[in-house]
Amino acid sequence: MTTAPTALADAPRARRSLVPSPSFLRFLGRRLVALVLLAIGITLVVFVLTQLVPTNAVTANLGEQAAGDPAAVASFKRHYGLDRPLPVRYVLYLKHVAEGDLGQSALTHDAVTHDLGQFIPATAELAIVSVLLAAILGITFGVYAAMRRNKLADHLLRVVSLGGISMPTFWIALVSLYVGFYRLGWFPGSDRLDPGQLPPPHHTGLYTIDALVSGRWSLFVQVLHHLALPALVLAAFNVSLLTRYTRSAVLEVAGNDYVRAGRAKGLPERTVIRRYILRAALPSVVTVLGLVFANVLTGAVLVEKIFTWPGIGQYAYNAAVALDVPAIAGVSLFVAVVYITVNFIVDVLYGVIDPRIRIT
Amino acid sequence: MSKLLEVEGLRVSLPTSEGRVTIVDGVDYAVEPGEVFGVAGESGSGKTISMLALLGLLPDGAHVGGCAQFGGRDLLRLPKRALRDVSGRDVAMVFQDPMTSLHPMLSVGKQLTEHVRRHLGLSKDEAERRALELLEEVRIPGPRSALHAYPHQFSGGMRQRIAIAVALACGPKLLIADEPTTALDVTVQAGILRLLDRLRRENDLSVVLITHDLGVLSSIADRISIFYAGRVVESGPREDVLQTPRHPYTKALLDALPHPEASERPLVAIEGAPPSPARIPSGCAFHPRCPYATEQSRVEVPPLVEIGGGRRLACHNDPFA
Repeated sequence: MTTAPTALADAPRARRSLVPSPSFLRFLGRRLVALVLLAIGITLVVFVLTQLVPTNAVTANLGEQAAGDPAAVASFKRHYGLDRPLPVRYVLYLKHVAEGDLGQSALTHDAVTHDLGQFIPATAELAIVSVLLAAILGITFGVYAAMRRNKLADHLLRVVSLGGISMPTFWIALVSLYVGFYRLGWFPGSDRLDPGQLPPPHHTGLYTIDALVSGRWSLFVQVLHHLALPALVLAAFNVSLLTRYTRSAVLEVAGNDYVRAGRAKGLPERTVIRRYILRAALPSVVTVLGLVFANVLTGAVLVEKIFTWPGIGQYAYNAAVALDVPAIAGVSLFVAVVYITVNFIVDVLYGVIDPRIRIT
Repeated sequence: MSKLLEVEGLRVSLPTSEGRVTIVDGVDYAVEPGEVFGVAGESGSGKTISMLALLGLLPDGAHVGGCAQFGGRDLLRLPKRALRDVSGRDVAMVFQDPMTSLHPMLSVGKQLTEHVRRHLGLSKDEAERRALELLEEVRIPGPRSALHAYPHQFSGGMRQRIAIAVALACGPKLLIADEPTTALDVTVQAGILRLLDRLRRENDLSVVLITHDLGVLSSIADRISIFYAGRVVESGPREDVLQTPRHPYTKALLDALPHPEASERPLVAIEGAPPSPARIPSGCAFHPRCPYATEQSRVEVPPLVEIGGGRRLACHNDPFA
């Protein structure tokens, strides 16, 4: 805690603040190792789950006639290694995952990786827009509520955010679809584009960006129009969550001595709020943002189903209903990997934001 | 000599769960240029609040009355913007706990330069040169690398030195130091006090030194005010007040100081506890704890009156006259 500052005297006159200390690099190294171990652990969980699902690969994959033919069944089982003991099959599964082979979907009869590649951009676009919306609205509301503590605006935001946290997403989705699409007709009710509209030339698969890259403004607007309702619905819970967390984080920081010291220095209130309060509240907000990302990914399954959004959420839903085990396993693995990656990024951000973590 | 700061009838009330409570109830004092003015009293006597009021640092909902003349202007009536120009530039503050009074995520250099650039309009390089000088002035080893370090890399005493450097950066005329040594080890305390004493001599600086420890004041204060329950009960030159206290409370505070050279003497404590600001006793607020209290003390608030020799006293009985 009490480092002798004399030790600093010999340090080179670089911008020390930007250079991560060896201890922070070690911290990052540990998190990276943890990330890989976690990913392997997840494959195990996913594999065990696929074994627990009450489904029969033979009946799901073979036609009626072939399923009745013992020779065909045996050759199918041998081909997919289903006649081997479980641990061996797990190792086989790991080997396939490492090779980028997640199996074949029983529903689409395509490789799961191919399906994921097809559906991920739609979900990624929805998720990114939703997280951005949640972050902008939630942080703004939270800061505003904290600054107007115990005033009308604060009370209103607290009531509204309590509502947002309490209402289940599927219900918000149905109500907003009913009102925004069916009653008012302000928003399209399904899909990423108007019926018959061809998507923009493929660059990223994110239609907003693809439309911008090819300079098609009206298409860009149309894409946004389609995104608006599902993204808002998916963001609703998270806006409320962020509002509440940001509010309490800001209030906690605002009571600190150094904020008073900043005011005593005669800094403009704007600077005190930005540099002294918001900056110090950022680590708590980033933590919640990681959570928000996870919420959006899990929430996407329901929202995509309700808004007929062609993403992995809907793919996962259809796979689950049809007991399409390889597809379910593939989606689970993908979502889990995204989630632990987001957590890793959050860890790195802590170090970037807070010198107490970066330099110890 | 004209006064640097002249506070008259300062009153502060704050909203609390027990309703609006008067924390500072008509405080008068003046600070001369270049002096160390000591403010002493127990916790809750309104010392800190009366100083925070000067720079408008009180919590929302605080009511402030009276006036505080500084450089021909009343600080209590300045618009926010004008007060911000005075804060940190002409009047600076050092807070009690250096572990919490520096921003943990801003480099020392940033905290030393941000207000300098704003108040004095220096360029980044000029401000950094000034910051280096300041770090040398407060005796931070390796000032050049300290500039790029963060507060958590320093010990408590070093952090308080940095906080003092931050306060002195714009060359203020008045430094308000609120218990600057309370959170520090005894050995470090003496160093900080010597530093403050040296800085005020070299920089033509007045210091208001708030403390609950009369021992701290005995070493560097020129004049002393004793606060009790939101009022000044006695004030005057340091030697006079400490050697021949006139108010029973001052006397009791001095008797309660431990004396290292008289170790066989038992420690004395003042009977009772300081009153909560929400329940200040009638008359002289000290009367329930005062062995000299009379009927008049119970009913009538004693005014703070001149008693000669630059001293002032608020006591009906003046038992040590």
